[in-house]
Amino acid sequence: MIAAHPVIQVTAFGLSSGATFGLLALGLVLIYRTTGAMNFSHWAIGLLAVIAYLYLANEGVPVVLAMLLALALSPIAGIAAYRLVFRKIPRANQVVTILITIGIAQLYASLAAMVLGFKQFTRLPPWLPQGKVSFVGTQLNTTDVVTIALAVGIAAGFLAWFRFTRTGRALRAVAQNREAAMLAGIDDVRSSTIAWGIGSALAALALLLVLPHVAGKQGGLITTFDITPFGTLLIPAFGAALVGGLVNLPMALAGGFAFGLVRELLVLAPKPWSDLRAVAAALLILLLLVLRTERFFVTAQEREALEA
Amino acid sequence: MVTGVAMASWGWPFWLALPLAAAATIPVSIIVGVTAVRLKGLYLAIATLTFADALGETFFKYGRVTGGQSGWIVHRPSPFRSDASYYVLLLAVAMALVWMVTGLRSSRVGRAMLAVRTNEREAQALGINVYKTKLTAFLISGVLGGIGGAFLALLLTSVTRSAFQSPLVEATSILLVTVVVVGGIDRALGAFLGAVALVVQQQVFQGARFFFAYFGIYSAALLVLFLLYRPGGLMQVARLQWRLIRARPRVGIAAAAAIIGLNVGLAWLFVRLS
Amino acid sequence: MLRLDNVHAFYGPVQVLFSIDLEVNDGEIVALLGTNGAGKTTILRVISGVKHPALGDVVWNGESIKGLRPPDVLRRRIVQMPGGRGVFPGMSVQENLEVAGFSFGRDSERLRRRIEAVLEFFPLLADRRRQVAGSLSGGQQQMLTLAKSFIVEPKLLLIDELSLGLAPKIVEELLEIIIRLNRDGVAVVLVDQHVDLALSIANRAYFLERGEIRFSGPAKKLRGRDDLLRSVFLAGARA
Repeated sequence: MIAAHPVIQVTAFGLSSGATFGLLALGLVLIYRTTGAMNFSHWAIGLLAVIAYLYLANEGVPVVLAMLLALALSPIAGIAAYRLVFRKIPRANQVVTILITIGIAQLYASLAAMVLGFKQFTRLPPWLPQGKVSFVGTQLNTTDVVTIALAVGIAAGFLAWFRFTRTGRALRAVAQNREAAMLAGIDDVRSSTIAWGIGSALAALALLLVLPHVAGKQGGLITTFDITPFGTLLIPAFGAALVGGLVNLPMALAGGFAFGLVRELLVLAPKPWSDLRAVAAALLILLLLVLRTERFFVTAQEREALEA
Repeated sequence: MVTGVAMASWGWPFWLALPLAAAATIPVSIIVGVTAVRLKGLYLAIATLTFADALGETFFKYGRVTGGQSGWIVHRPSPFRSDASYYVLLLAVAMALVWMVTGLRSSRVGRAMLAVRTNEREAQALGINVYKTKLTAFLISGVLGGIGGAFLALLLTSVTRSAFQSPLVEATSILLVTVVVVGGIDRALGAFLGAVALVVQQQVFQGARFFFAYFGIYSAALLVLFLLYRPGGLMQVARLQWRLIRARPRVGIAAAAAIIGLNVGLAWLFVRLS
Repeated sequence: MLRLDNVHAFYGPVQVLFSIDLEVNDGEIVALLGTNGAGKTTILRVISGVKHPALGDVVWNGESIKGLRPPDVLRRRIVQMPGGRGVFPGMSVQENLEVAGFSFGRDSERLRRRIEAVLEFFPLLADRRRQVAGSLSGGQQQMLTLAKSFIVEPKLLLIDELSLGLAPKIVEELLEIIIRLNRDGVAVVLVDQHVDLALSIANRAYFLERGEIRFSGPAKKLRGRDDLLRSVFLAGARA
């Protein structure tokens, strides 16, 4: 009975970090499929929302309202990047696109660092209720439970929107066959703008769920590690996206949970194996890359269109 | 990395540790390369990012070998102890490497690499072993990286986790990308030119607090602007300028003078303001 | 009906169209022929607004439509059928047809009516409404692509590579549908690698080489120009 407790606790941990990987991955896949850009600046875009949240909270805005406002503002960063920069690059030039996302990442991360005044640590107030919930006799953090529920709820809502609404269908059409979508009268610039906006909001939500709550009641700290352009959570998010071959949204979400669980459950592994925790994500990603997961989700012809 | 181990733990002199550092990159490059050669563009970029992070984690995890968090202290070899003399050595080495890589371009291997980059299928049809060529490129760049790392260690005179691991590694990697793009992505001299241009600015303006603070923003903006408008980097700018001078000497020289003057003027302004 | 005046177009620094003059009259079928990479598809893309010309004008019934975005061109009932495979492979046949009527906005009644009308031309597709388009055969996918371009009731239909990779029997079926449509007054521009086929149904023809028009006139006349057509046949034989 007692031995079961840590497993449940760690699972909750894993699922909650997995939820954030999943949200990041959803945004990555959405932007990639609709616009052809693999967004290495995803983390930095989300980071700007966290900075906005911090600013508002420090100005005395109630934390939950500050979070909602930050979330509402978050699409600006992504849409600006798309309209001002990515729109101007020919789609075929993938290497240049990647290099530019790296540049944007650095730009936004530097902006964030500047707003924070280049400090080593900045305290972030939490906005989720702090406390414990009892589950099968195990005490779980409310923040973990709410994070999981919120992430799953929003992801489900987003997937339903993508599947059943007119705009969602237009985005899917652009993703599957851009030229045919344009010839059917779908405005590709508008679709790409929407994809960048929603992708940014998903990244912002993921970071707003994690960063202010890493240290429990203390709230969260932003350290120099978090202000890096490719924050540490982006690598598992890429991994999660790869589970869906970079193209399948529900699988990307599932991949997020898988990466979260593996990372946390390794804590329980016996000594030499638990050391693998730091590199587990990297090893999984290598495996996924070698498996070429994308071939399970799209036809060869669609893939060529994406990679062209 | 390996230089540090060899010099500090085994007490090897630098001149022996340097080739070792270069050689040590070979197995790593092969492991990375064998995987990476199978990947294209985007997948390769993800793999690279992942590798960089994972390698940093692993090396410093095993504190016994690598001195752990505190790292090690290394000393520069005897005639090059002072910063000035070390600088001369670095310059010489850098120029030698630029010369070698430029030479590579016109060698058999270099031409094969160019062909592979231009069109993989056609290169294959011409009888070029694409796999081997790509792997060679990874090896050469790995060795260059090893040499660079060794000299960096000596420049900092210590090898620590913080110098070789995120977030600095990420910032440095991005700076490297910026350097290469700003210089000119398809020329060895371009990389050197870009490095000089960026680092000189970084150093000159170090005194100007507000500028140094914004260096990240500045270099990122530079990277994006160059990619958008001058994808060939400074080398392309120079070539275009040279063509203009040849075609319309007066206008060309005036434009070149204006560009250089503007840059010098801005630099002077920044120094004055700080 | 449609006129291209001195159109020049570039992809990056490469010029792909040089001073193109082209005309399509009411109720005509015009064949646009040429070797691979001669610029045929680019001409269609210029008309449909996917590609904007650097110079020159595109005139539709007396109004310049140069520089309009694809949705606005579509509103004038100029429809381009995409080359290669033009379906959305992850969507069902029904969904594909619904997306083709995207320009109808929220008028779902009109969309429903049009889909029923179009499916009468294609009984084969009517039986497979729920099937995912990516799992259709090549011929069926091409059929669906053609069906999609009928949804908005085109006045001018631009067809890019109708016969590519299809069995002759299927091509014949598709051609018959196009001829039927043409009898109802739809003008057609037909781009095809298959010269004989295109010329067999066309009234007039243009022949392109490296972005320039080398021949324009009655389709019958082009048939006699072996000097021009040889290059296409040679390219075809190699492919």
